[in-house]
Amino acid sequence: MTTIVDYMGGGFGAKFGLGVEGQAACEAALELKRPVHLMLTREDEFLTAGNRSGAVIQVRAGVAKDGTLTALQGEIQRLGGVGGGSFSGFPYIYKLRDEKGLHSSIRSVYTHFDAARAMRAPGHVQASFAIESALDELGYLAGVGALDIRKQNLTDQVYHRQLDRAAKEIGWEAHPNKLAPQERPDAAGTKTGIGFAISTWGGGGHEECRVRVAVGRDGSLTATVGTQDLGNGTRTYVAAIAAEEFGLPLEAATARIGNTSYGRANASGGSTTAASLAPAVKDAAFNAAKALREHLAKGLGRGAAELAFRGGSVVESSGGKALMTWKEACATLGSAGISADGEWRSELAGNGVHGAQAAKVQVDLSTGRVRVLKMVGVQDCGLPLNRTAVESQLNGGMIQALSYALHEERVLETGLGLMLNANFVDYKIAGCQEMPELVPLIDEEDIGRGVIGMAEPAIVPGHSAIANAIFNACGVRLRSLPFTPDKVLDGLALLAANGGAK
Amino acid sequence: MKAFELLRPASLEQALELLPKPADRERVRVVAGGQDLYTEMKDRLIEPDQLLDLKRLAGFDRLEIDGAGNVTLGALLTLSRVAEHAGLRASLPLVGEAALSIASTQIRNVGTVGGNLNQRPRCWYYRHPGAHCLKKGGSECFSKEGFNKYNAILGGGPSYIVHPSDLAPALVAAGAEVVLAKKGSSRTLPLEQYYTLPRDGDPLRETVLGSDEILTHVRIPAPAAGWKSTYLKFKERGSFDFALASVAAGLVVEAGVVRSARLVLGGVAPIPWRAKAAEEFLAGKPAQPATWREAAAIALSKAEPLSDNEYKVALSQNLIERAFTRLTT
Repeated sequence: MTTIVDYMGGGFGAKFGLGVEGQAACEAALELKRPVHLMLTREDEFLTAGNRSGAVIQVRAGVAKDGTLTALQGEIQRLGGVGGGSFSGFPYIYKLRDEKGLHSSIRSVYTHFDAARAMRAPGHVQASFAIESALDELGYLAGVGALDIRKQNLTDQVYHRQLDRAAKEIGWEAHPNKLAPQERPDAAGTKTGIGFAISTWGGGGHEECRVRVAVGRDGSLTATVGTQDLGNGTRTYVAAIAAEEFGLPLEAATARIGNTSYGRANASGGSTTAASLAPAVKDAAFNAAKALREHLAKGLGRGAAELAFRGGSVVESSGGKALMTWKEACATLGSAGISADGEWRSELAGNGVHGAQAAKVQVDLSTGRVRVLKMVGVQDCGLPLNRTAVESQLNGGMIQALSYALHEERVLETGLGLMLNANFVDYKIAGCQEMPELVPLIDEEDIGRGVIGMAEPAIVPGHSAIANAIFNACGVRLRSLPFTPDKVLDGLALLAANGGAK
Repeated sequence: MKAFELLRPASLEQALELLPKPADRERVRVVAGGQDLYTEMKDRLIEPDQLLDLKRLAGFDRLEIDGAGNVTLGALLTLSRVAEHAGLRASLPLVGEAALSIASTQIRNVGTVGGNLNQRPRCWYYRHPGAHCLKKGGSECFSKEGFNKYNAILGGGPSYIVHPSDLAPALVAAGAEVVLAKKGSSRTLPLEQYYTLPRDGDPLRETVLGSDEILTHVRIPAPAAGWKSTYLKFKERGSFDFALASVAAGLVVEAGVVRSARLVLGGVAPIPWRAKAAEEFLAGKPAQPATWREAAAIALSKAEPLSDNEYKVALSQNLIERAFTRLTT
């Protein structure tokens, strides 16, 4: 069986395994001995193609006067339909200095809905919301504030650096209401707040990809591997790494991917593709360049080490004097050209990333509408292969988090056993009117490490930061997603009833 | 979607000939822009054998303002043209604002005045093919005890839908009439009387339109001197959404005193909800914030929220205050 995926619009999850729909298509094709085109309806997508796991989490916690966590208890129920669901651990990232104060229990609650599948940062999004909400609340109660309570319970200095950077970019220093929600509304009847949250992810690679880089007599340069591009730029960096090795522009190289017959590659998941694939491409390109240098050295009567590829030419490695153009060099090859294979090299990949985000929101006290004004994402990713793509991943993560923070919800009718909104009118996704100013920042102090995937951490903290910003604005602590106007208005009404709102 | 026959009459007379008897009204459906009807057909909520397409009927897409300021909107006039018409925006801003608030640019370019006034409810249960609710001939309105965040707080029972039209509240506030044609005759009635509460009429329908009638056009009388108006729609999502609540408001203020007021709420009742008690209260009162606040309280005093939609009371009140403030500052 060969799988062909030339282009995919965007792969964010609900993957791994064929699924019943894939099995049905395969069986139909075998039975009919003809190609079968499977296309799910929107409703099918919601009901049979996998969802993010839900979670119901109860947290009890206590802090010392300086904000140090002293006691933390979490009771986690994972909601994964007929599957077990996912949850990435408790507490998430933050640590107690004395672990004796920590207790948590996790169990799965099974329902008759479709099993949850891997969805961009499975388990992390839920875990983030629980701890970031609880810690934030304690930060205000203890009077240390939203930023310092986080740093107080993080020993890893990378988080301190990233939180400080996010705070600077969002305008925390000049923010008037750091230790309590805004007291009086602005003239327009709104209140403004800022919130923070952090993330973590692995993103490391492993030995699975085999890449072949080939140079043709016609000057063509091709990198071949049976991976696919999920829409995140794999095709671009496969070509770019090969081109760079030969001192050629990106457009001179072709990435042959999207076909399992092109050789083994890892399953794209867990943000492990870049760290698994890029080192193998580099290795293959390095080996092919070495072989080409050795071939050319013979003809030029020089040592291979005396030759280098630079600016579309073969040059002297010391001094850079041009000896022949790329085309002339390739014309000396036999009809088969030259090629070499490459495998994963652990020293070219890193593992483990952080991430800090901040959100600034405006809450309309009359309507309960939450408008996200600005989001800042600071992300380490080791060596960035393509800065534009990294920034796009960060933007995309913040946008997706904003969308499920403000709108997205599968409305499951418990009495009738129906999903009431399995369409894109009633299952609401943020549109252009919801988009804030987005500031994606690569943590430049981290680029000395090897390649690390960063697609998933980008989506983890956004909703938590928005929830915390809502509290910072108007004093309403929202404990369930999405943060819709009805919940904000109910929260404001409760505050007023308790004499807390102005 | 079930296969259907498309009928394209060339004249109103031909179209009226093709209309079904009451017993057959589900078999033949009139289509204008189709932006709501086609989604109902795709979800198999309705499965007509024939669609009666009105696009060829001459003059059905007209927008006219006569010398006295009276407005005529043809049933097939697109929402985009209503939203963009400078003359209409000048004399009756609430109508243009309502049209502009509907759906997306793409839908407004195709959706029509007649279609918008006759669109069907957005209630989750009504739209779900698997929920055989009261609106679809079942015995129960599931929203009453079920998931009712978007449902009615006024005029509910036995069905708790809200009417989804944005044009309807604006046009009711503007005192519009609708003209309904049938074979050999036509009738004109205030748009307000076109809509029926579930408890007053057939719960399967939202209007008094007969199976043998076609809504041909809407007439809006020239506004009174000094009449100012606005339409405020609050959407959960800024990009493309239905109203959680909306307010169509009109005022004549002289020397700081309200002479007359119109107040119609959308998104909160099975019909565009005219707040008559609030209108009566406003006449003769000083045009000031305290007046708006009291009017808003009166307008919602009869509200009976369901389990998940109490927020709509405060939301509607706040929107009413905001609308009148906008008209007087």
